[in-house]
Amino acid sequence: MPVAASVALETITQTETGIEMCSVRVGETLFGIPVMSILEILGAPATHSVPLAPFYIGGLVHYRGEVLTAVSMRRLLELPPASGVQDILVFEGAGGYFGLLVDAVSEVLMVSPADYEQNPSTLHDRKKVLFAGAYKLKSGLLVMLDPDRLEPMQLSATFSAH
Amino acid sequence: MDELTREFLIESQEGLDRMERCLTELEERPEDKELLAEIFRSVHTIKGTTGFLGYSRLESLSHVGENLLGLLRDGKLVANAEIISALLAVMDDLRAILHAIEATGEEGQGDDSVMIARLHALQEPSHVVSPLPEEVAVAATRKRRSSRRTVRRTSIPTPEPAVALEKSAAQQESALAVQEPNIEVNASRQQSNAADSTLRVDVDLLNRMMNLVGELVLTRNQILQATSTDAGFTLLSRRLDMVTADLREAVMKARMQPVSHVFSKFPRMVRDLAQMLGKRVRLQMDGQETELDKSLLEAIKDPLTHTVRNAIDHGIEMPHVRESAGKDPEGTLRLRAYQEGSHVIIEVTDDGGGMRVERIRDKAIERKLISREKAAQLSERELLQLIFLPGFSTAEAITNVSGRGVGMDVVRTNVEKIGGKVEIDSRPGRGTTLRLRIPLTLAIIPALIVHSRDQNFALPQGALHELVYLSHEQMKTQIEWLENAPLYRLRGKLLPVVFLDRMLEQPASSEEVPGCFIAVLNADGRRFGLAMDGLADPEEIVVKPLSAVLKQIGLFSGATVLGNGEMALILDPSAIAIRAEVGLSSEEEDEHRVIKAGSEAGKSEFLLVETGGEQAALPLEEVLRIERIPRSRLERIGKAPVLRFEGSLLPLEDNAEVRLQSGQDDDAQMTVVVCRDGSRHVGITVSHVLDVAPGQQLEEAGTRAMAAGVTLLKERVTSVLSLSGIPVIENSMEVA
Repeated sequence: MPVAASVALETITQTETGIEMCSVRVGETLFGIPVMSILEILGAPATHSVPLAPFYIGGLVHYRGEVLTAVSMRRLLELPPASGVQDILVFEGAGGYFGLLVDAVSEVLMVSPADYEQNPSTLHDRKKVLFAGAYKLKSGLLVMLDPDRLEPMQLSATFSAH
Repeated sequence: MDELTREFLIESQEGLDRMERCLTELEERPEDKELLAEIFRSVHTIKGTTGFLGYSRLESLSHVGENLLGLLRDGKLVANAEIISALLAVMDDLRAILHAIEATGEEGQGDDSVMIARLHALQEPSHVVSPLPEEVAVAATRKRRSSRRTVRRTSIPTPEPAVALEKSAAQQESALAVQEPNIEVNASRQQSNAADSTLRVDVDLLNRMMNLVGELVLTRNQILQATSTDAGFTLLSRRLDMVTADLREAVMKARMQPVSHVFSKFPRMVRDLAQMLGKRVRLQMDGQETELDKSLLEAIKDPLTHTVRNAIDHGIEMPHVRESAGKDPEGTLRLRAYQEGSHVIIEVTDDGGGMRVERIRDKAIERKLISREKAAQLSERELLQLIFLPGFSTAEAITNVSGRGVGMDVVRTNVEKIGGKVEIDSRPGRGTTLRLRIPLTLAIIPALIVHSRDQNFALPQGALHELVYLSHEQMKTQIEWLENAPLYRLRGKLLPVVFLDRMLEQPASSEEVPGCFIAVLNADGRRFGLAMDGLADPEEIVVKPLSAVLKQIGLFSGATVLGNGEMALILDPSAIAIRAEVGLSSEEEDEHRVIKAGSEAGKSEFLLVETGGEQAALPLEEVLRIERIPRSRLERIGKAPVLRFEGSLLPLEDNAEVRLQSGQDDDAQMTVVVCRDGSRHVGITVSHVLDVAPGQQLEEAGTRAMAAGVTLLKERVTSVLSLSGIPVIENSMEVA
């Protein structure tokens, strides 16, 4: 499944001349997510923690009358909890809507397919399944995230397999 | 498919459903003219429309059916099992063709000649006198075509020769129209009225409306909380509150359907099954008008069908077995639906052989569903529950009807999926009762908001029996530990206690807890106390589903947004009980027995309250709920105090004289005991709820007009509040 998804991402990069990426910051890293896959960005929502939930679940967020399960990027990366407020990106996955908690949404960048490279083989296995390669920007790397891989059920499958 | 055909399909299906119901009834009352007329009308309507739409197979089949029914209606034939079987078979054929039209738009290829011949044969008047085996009858009719005409001719009073069946049928019809013009006219008028005033609505649309209403309820709750401090808004928000409640009620009502929609197919099924198995079964159905949410009705269709099959196949014995056991050779299967609080109960009771606990145990051990050691520890009640395990079936032989090893576990899973429960009760030799407990609606449930470690949780009130508060000191002394198991003595019995914060592995707080509440819960017969830090108000919550990954945790049945905008997870009491390994208790039965024994001695349980500075008693079985409500909610019609409660008007007895105090402090809360008085509900304001105690009923009437009786409660003569003394709300009363 993750393999198929990364192929899909590559086809996007090959067919288009420039792609709009939403860049978000988590800790020290700048991540990129295709703008088209994002339904909505919620600023500083109140999250409600869920006891006994898997480690990567950041909590519940009220979203348009639904209760949204939010994945915490910080927890996924095993970073200490954020000190300030966080932003949340809303996606639609196979099992319904879900959210992704990040430190802050920064800006929309145009990236060129020529700058794309796959995950380095030296990357930790656990991170390999989360990241979808990276774009080389002048200022540094834009690490790609694939919403399909971050879907809570997909994460559950990923981590129970490891 | 065009609109006309679709309409026709729906109408014909409904007509067939109606006919099926009537036909099985006809078997009991073969002479019932009205019943026959109704069946005749249904089939006639189908015939008429099919001819118009050009479905020739449907037309010819319904035509022979109509002819046969015409003879029955005119009393020239008497309905017997054979005729009814044949008519049911025709209906099956008609249904099959309707399905084909729905799927492909065509009637499909099929040979109806055998069926037509079968029905023709049954039209033979001599048939009633000497029933011939079917094949012979068919052959005989073909041979004696001319003689058949003679017989017919003699049997019809008007001596005109019936050359074609069509003609005679038409005649009979017109004859009926002349004889009973009023009935025909009335019937058609009723039909057209029903058609004009009802509308078919897509279920998806209703679902969407329900979601939106849920949202509205949520927004209302938030507004009510936000405006409770602002006097100017209070009036407006109260109006919003009222409209929202009414709207919710209306949308919920729109989704309600009587359980007869599901029950109606059982007479046929029971009849066919009983015939197939050579058993004799009488079906008794009560409470068919009980209404249930459409989606829930759909969901219980299969579990209920399965239960009925099981009852006939495994429950009711063969006639000779029953006779030798001294029972009526005809078994009784009883389907009963009724509403109990926020649940609808559907009971399937048979008076068959019942379940032998030893056999269930042996079978479970044989199928390796349970170890011998474990089985030895289980009580009878727990052993009965084993039938709900996947892969359990006690049928000796695998029959066509049941016994394929999928069964009761599917019933339970399906019912639990919609938040319902399945209870079983069986007495060897006397029969089995299976009780399906279905929530009235899925979307909105009453719940108590509780705190554990600064987090909100919603505890559905369905499982909640009572609440016990323990101060910090009491916690130390009254919660006793047996090794790892905390216990609380509730009225002399040990109640296993589950600490919510430990169960949820919440981090222990550094500060000392001032005390705790123990919610005494009964989840599927598992009784336990759930200990938590604090309570907030009861609230009607809108249930939001959880994502799959959070469902896996297994302790939460959903989430909700509270009036203050915060979120709360909804606790699943039975899942918590199972996780904590709380066993099934037989205590409930014991308690019932105690109460029963008590009432036999002229004793019953009372709720002891303080009202108007005096102690008074309320019969506990009449008490539905105890509510804390803001005083400002008390309104008046004329002089009678009333309360709007769950969308309906509750006549109130204001004993605590909240009315006199109102105006002083509108935000203060009052305690209202909601009681059942016959079919209506009434409320009584009280100052305090004191205790529950058994009372000795005394015959002498009290002197106060309020007290219809007195009772000896805790060695004190206490007046019993009269519920019937509360005036009925009348329309003629002027709205103040």
